[in-house]
Amino acid sequence: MIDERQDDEILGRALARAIETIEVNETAYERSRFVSAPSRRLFGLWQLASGAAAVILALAFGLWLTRPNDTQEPAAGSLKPAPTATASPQLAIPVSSAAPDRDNVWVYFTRDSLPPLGAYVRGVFTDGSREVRIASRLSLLRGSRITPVPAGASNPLALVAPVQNGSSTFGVGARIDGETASVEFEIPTGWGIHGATQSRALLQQLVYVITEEAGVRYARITEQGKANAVIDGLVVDKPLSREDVFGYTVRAATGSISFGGDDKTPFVGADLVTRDIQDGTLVRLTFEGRNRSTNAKASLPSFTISFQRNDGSVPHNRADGAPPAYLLAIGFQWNGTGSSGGVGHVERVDRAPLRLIAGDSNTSYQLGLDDARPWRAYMPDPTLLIIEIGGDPRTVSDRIAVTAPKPGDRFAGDIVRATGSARVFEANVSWRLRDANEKAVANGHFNASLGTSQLWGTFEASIAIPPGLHGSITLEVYEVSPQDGSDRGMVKIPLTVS
Amino acid sequence: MIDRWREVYEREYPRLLRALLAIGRDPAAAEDAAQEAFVKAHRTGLDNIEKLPAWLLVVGVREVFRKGRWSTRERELWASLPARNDGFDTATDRADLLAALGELPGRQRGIVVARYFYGLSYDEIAEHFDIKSGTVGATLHQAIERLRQIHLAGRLARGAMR
Repeated sequence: MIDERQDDEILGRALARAIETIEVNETAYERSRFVSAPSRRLFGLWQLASGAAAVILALAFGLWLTRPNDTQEPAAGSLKPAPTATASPQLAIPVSSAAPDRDNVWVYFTRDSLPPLGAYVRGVFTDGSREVRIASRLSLLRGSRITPVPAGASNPLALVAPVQNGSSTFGVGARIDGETASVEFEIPTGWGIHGATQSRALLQQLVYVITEEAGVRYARITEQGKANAVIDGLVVDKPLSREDVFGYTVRAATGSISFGGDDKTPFVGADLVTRDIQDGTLVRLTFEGRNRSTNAKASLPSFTISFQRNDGSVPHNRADGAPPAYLLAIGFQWNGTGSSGGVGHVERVDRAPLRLIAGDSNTSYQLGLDDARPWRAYMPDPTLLIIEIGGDPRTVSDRIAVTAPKPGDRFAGDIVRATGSARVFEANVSWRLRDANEKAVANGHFNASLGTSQLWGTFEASIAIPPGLHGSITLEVYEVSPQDGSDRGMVKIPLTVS
Repeated sequence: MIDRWREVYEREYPRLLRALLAIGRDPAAAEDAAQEAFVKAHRTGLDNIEKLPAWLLVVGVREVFRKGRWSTRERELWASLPARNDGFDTATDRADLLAALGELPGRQRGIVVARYFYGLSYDEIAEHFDIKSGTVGATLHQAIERLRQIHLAGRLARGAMR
């Protein structure tokens, strides 16, 4: 027995020595997950030190953070039934817990000329206050070396407050007043941002991340001790909304549109049959009419689409608790007898700008959206309704949306195929080609399938490239105003002809 | 406060990471679990944790098993062990031992590492791993015996191939 114990001990020790020699990549203290995650003790002011001789400076930059009044808390977690556009059952919705967990901090990353990309990153909210949550999202991105940046995107916040003489200080404090969050940055070594592109990207990221907090619509960004912020020449001196920085020339108006459909055939509902989501940029959802009695494809009944700010009536279904900022609700008329049936549910999508889809999967759909980017609806045939939200901002205006060609596309032939949708006078879509010197070298027009109706028309046209035109060109697509002949709703798509 | 955490982290993190790597065999999962254990410790507060090393180990082990990510390439992993000039423990021996550890049931792996690498007493193991104190000795012996067999089998197999 004694020998046995000794033998065990010898082998055990050999094992311990083996473990001791395992080579590991140790994560430095500064980059450890819990240091970059927010801490209750710091009351929303974080400082991250970096560099070889990292110094974490004292956290003495004023404690001006106000605790929110509980009664002002938005109804983020409340369980109210969703509004229903037509006869559909009330939604009994399971809402996931807002308990702190991992991978549950939603933040934004930026891309050139495009709206931001959203993603969950690892982090823990150790304090429930809204101000602390805002500051914690920002500091999480600032200490981003532990955060994987999505492919094709960048994280401008990681550049802020660069290291000087071996150390750097980054402090951030937030205060919420109504719909505006004021965020002050303590950045003694500056923003670390160079050029207009980077400045715009950082501003876009800051505004989206700050306004991610429930009930916050505007971000007021200042530098410590100043009334404004100047990011490499870009002066920020007023509260900004997501719509101020998303890059689209127009924003979606709140309100609703209605369209008559086939209300003679009873028991027809709509299925969400396809979703085409280009993360951060475009959402295209296709609804198809289906006869619930026969299960055959059917013409859609009348429907109403409304766009509104989310008043909290649709529960979120998110780990970190904030409801989406806007709702696009599609309600189909139910022409059957009795209830339209269907089980209410909320599906978490979390692919910006589409955060969730709520509804009964039959007559009522609600899309939770990040921002008020322009959207359009069109019907390729009476059985299909397509809802398109956003797109590359360079290809979208209030009346034109070009799906192809895309900015930067390269052509070898003499024909450009143009597809997209439009809502223009008499369905007449105009186009123009400009060469590298901005000189107009060709123009023409084609027809969309519908004119200025509530629904957009679609188009598919061939544009001939004049012989001898090479290099960088611009395709302009627009409407000629019936009032004064001016170009309206212009989109300009840079292309290359080789 | 921050300096206290730094001290704890710099002392405990490397050991925890090695233990979790030995137990779970997946570097990414070990790193993840070790970080997660510290996040949880941080959330709990230093003053509320009695025996921090054991606490971190138990939480880390649970994280490693919760993920259930098993690497099938541990041999390659252990092949990178540096040689040590003590003339007795060869790198091959150590790699064999670590690979053998990986063959044990998950719970036994945790207990063996707690005992021999962390030096926890039987009582501490019983407390933290939630097993009866009377069975710690028997479980450990069983685990080590099995480790010995696997280790031996591995050596014999390699010897036969030479």
